[in-house]
Amino acid sequence: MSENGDWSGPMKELIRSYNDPVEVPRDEMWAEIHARLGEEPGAEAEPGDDVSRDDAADATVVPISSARRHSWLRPTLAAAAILVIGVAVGRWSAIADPGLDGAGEVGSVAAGGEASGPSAGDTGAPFQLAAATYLAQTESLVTLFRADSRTGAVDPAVREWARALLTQTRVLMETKQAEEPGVQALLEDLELVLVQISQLPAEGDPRLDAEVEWIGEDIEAQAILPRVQAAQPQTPVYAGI
Amino acid sequence: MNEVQEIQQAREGDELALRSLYDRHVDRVFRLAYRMAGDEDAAREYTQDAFVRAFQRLDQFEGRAAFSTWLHSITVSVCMNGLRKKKRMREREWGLEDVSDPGRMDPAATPHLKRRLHAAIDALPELYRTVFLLYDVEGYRHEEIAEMLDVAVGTSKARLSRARAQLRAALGDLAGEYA
Repeated sequence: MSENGDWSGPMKELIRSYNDPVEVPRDEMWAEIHARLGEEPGAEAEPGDDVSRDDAADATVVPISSARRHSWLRPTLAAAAILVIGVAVGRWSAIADPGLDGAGEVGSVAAGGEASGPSAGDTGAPFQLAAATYLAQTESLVTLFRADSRTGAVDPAVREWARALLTQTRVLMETKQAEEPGVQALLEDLELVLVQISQLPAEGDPRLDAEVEWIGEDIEAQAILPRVQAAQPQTPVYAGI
Repeated sequence: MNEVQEIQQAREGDELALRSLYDRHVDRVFRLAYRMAGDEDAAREYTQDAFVRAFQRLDQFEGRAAFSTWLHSITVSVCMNGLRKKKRMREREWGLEDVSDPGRMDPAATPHLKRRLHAAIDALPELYRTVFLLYDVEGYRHEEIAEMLDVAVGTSKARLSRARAQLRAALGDLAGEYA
């Protein structure tokens, strides 16, 4: 490896052999693209038409997961939908990533312009609680991890907790609301942190200290805690450990 | 006709212009998708999705960056979304215990360096793996990667540094021996 960290020698060649592409099926792919452009709403719109190309693209960009074609997955998707509503009526609209372009996404998530959210007693309250609990638990986990890392010993239970929250994070990432830039950025950063915590080497492993340090740096660099805190509702919720 | 003119004609629905843009960029897009997906069917799906998305959003291309950078940015986004969905599907079907880290395996169990290396790359967190693939495998510059992933250049460098460190740790003494 060179002074700037670049690979050299046989290792460089081996790295470039990773997932070495096969021949490009150029014409077959073009036929499919051409057909899709012709059949999807908005693709044939003339300049000046009112058809929203963006909306049309959003409806087709993400490959239709086979999950959506399996009825047995409906309960899972229903659970995700509950979280979505919770997200929409909660404080997710307040999420803004100061590390991006500074353009706050306030109000862009709340469905139907209900940015103010439901009042107490609305049927949306349980959904708010679901999203708020996720955020509160994430904040507690990150806080606990930072405290543990200062003492040099990360409780094994923290790894398990991170795995559980990782699953919840990925459910949220599959929702429509997660395509909103601020929400997506926060969930991606949380996913990375949670993946790393959940995969921490065991106590005594020589890699442990470096891994803990990297995670700590990520938490600081991405301003994880302030962003999670900003996304939470004012009313405290049970964060359970 | 230069690319700017082609893009303008493609916006107006000129099929020859669309095909010309496709022909010029498809090799690199497919290559990138294949590197990320490691599977031909998935690479085809992501390549098609990326082009459909790009062609439907040509009005949003402002020309601040190169068209190729914009297109590759869409490709990376489509791939990452698709890979996340596949990963979640596996978790649902097999249970989290089995696939919490599908690519992760004990490097010592695979004696061949190439297999060990590729398994270690598979095991990287997705955001690290993406930067690693773009920089070390595909040869993009940090400025391009930052543009494509909508992150700071420093973030791209930090993720590459950590990806490399994790690979070195996973390969142990072999990394030094072969580098």
